[in-house]
Amino acid sequence: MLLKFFKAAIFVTLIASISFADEAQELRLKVQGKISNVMTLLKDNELQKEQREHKILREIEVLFDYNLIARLSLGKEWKKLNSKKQGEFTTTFTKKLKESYLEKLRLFNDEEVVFETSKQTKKNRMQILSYIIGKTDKKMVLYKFHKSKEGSWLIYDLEIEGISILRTYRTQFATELKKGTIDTLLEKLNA
Amino acid sequence: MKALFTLFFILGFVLTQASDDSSFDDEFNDDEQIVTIIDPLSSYNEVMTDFNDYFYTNALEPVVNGYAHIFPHEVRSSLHNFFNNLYSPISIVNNLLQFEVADATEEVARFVLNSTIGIGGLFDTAKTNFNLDAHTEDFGQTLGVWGVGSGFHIVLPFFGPSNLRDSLGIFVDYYINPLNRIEARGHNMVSTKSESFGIGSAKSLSTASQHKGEYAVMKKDALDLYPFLRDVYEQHRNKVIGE
Repeated sequence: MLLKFFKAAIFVTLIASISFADEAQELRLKVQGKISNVMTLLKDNELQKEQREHKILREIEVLFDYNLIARLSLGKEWKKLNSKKQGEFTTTFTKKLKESYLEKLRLFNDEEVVFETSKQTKKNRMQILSYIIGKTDKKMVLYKFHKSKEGSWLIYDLEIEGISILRTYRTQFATELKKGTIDTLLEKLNA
Repeated sequence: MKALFTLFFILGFVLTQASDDSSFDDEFNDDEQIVTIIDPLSSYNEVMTDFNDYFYTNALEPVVNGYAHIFPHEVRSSLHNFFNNLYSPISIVNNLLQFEVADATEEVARFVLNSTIGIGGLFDTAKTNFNLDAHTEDFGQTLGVWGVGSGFHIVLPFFGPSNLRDSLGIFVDYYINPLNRIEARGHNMVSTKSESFGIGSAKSLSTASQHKGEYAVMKKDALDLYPFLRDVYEQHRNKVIGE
C-alpha cells in the first residue's frame, strides 16, 4: 500500500516537474518570438516612427500585467485610494511605463538579444534571463512573470542590470506620497 | 456538509488570493527601509547631483556627441577596448581578493591574449576568438564581498553616485591603476601628472561614448533626480557584488 502510494507520489512529481519545464520553455519561446518581432520592427525603415511604435506596443503589451504593476508600485497606499483614483493612477502609470519602454528602445542600435534560461522560482512565478549584447558590453535583462487568475503568465517586473523597474518606482512613489498626495504624484507622472 | 465544503472552498480561495499578494509584498518589503534610509549628506548630495547633472548635460554630452560624430564606431570601440585592457590588472587583483580564482585566471588569459594578439588591447580577441568573458571587478565590490556594508551615500563630483565603501574602493583602485602617476609608488607608466590626467579624461570620454544617450533616457524615469539615482546606484551595486 505504502509502496503504491510512493510510486504514485513520484509519478505525480515527475509529471509536474516535466510540465513545469515545458511551461517555462514555452513561455521563453513566446517572449523570444515577441522580442524578435520588436527587433524586426525597429529595423523596418519603411514605417513611420508613430506607426512603428504603435506596432511595437501592440506586440509586447499583452505580456505585461499593468494592473498588478500599478497596484504593487503603490504598496500599502493602494488600498487607501478609492476605485476611481486607482483607475486614474493605473491609466497614468501604464502610459508612463509604455513611454519609458519606447524611450529605451530608441537607444537600440545593432544590439542583439540573447535568451538564456527560464526557470520556475515558485509555483506561480517564472523568471526569464536575457542579455542585450552590444559591441563592447552586455546588459542583463530579467523578466519576472506571475501566473494570473486566468492562468496566463504575465510580467510584473523587469530587472535591467539588477535594477528593478517596479522597486525603483515603488521607492519613488512611497517617498512622494510621504510628502505629497496622490494628486501631486499624478501631476508629476503626467509632467 | 455541502455548505461546509462550500465554506472551505471559499476560505481556501480567499486565503490563496491573500497569500498571492503578500508574497509580492515579501519580495519588495525592504522598500519601507529605503524610504527611511540614513542619509546624513542628503543636502550636499542633492546639490552635487544637480551640479553633475548640469555638467553631464551641458559639457560632457556635447563633447561625447562631437567625438562620436567625428570618429567611426570601429575607432571608438578599439579605444574602449584599449582602456578596458589596461583596467584588466585591477580586475585580476580584485578577483583574487574575492577568491574568484577561475575568474582571475580567465581575466589573466584575456589580458595576455588582448595585449599580444589583440595588438596592445585594441581588439577584444579574447572574447571574439576565444569566447573568454570579462570579469570586471573593483575594490568597492571586493569590500562588499568581504561583508563591508555600503555606508551612507555620497555623490562625488564628476564621478556621480557613490557611497562610503565604494569611495574608498575608488581610492584604492586609483592607487593600483598603472595609468595614474603616483610618486609614492616605485613604478609609473606615465611620466607626468598632466599626462595621467589627459589619459584619465580620454578614458572617461571613451566610456561615456559607449553609453551615449543612456543617462538622458534613464533620467526620464525619475520623479526626483537625487533619490532616484541613489536608489538605482545602490540596487546596481548590490547586484554586481552578489555576482
